Amino acid sequence: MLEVPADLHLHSCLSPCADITMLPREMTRRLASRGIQVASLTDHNTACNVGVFQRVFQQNGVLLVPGIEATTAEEVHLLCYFETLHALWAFSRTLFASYPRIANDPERFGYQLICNERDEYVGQFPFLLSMASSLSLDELRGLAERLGGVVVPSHLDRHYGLLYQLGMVTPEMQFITYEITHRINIEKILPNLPGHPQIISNSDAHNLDSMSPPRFVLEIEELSVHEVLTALRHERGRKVRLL
Amino acid sequence: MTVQEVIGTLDAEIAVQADLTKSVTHGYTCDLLSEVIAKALPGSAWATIQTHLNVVAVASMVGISVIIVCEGRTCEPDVIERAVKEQISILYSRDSAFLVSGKLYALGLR
Repeated sequence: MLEVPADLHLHSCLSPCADITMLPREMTRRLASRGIQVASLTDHNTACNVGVFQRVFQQNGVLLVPGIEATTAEEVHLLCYFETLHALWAFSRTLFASYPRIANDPERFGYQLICNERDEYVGQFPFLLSMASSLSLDELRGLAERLGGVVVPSHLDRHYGLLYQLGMVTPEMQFITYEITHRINIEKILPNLPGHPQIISNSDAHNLDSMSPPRFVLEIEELSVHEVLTALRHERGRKVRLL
Repeated sequence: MTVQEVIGTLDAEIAVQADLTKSVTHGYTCDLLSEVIAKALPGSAWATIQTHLNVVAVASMVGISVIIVCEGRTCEPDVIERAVKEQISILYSRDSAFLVSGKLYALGLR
C-alpha cells in the first residue's frame, strides 16, 4: 500500500473569500515543495478553474481530484469529489441552477477570478458564489452520489460545518469520512459522530501562506482518482490516516 | 401561556398539532442548531427558517414547546412525520423570524 500525502481542500482566486494570488502555477509549486502528491481544488459552488488546475498539477506530477465545495440550503459546506471532470461538470451545472443570481460586487465580497495556466486572469465569475443552494444537504449528497462522487462534510469544528449548522449527526445521515480543521478537536468531535467514521484534515487554504504541510495521508494501491475516492469511501482496504 | 395562545397571536398555520395546551415559558430565535442546543431554554417557542430533519431532533433534545417555521417555508414529509412521532407542534408563519420574535416578545415571552 502507498502512503500518499494529500490536501483535498484548496480555494483558488475564483472563491470570493480567497486571495487573488491563489493561482495554479504558484499553488502547484507550494504543493510540490510540501511533498503533497494528491490535491483538490474545491472552490465555493463553482468548478470553473478546475480544468486549468488539473493541467498545471499534471505537468508537475500532482494528481488532481475533481472537486467542489457546495453550500447546501442549510448553509452546510460539503466537499464533493468526483472520478472525472465530466461528473463534476454535471454536478456543478445542477448546483449552479439552484442558487440565487446575485451580481457579485467585488469590492464588497471579493474578486471571483477565472485564470489560465500561466497564472493570468482571464475573466470574472459574475454571480456571487457565497450563496446557499436551494437544494438540501440530502438532495446535494444524493446528486453527488448518483454521479459516482463522494461527499465529505467540511470542517466539522468550524462555522458552516455540519455540526455547527445542524447541531448533530444522526445515524441516518452519517458519512464515511469527515473533515476537521484542527486535529486537536478530534477528541471532542469523534464521540458525537455515529458509526466509525474516518477523519481527514486539509489546509482549506484561502491564501498562499495557509498552504500547509500535509495533514493526512491516503493509503492506496496506486496514484489514481479512483483509488482516492475508494479510500474516502473506506472500501477494499483503502483508507485515510491523520498525521 | 400555551401553544394555542401562540398560534392565535401569530395567525400561523398548524403543520403539526401536538399538545396545544403545552406551556410556553420562553422564546428563542436562531437558525444555527448547535447554538439552539447550547442556549435555548426548555419550554421555548423557537422561531427559525431551518427545516432540516434535525430541527425536530434538536427541539426534542432541548424540550422546545413549539417550532415556528418562518418566511413561508415548509417542511418535507419526513420532518412532519418525525415531529408527529416526537409530539412537537410545528407552525408555519409567513412572517420573518424578526416579526415572529417581536410578536412573541409582545406576549411577554423572554
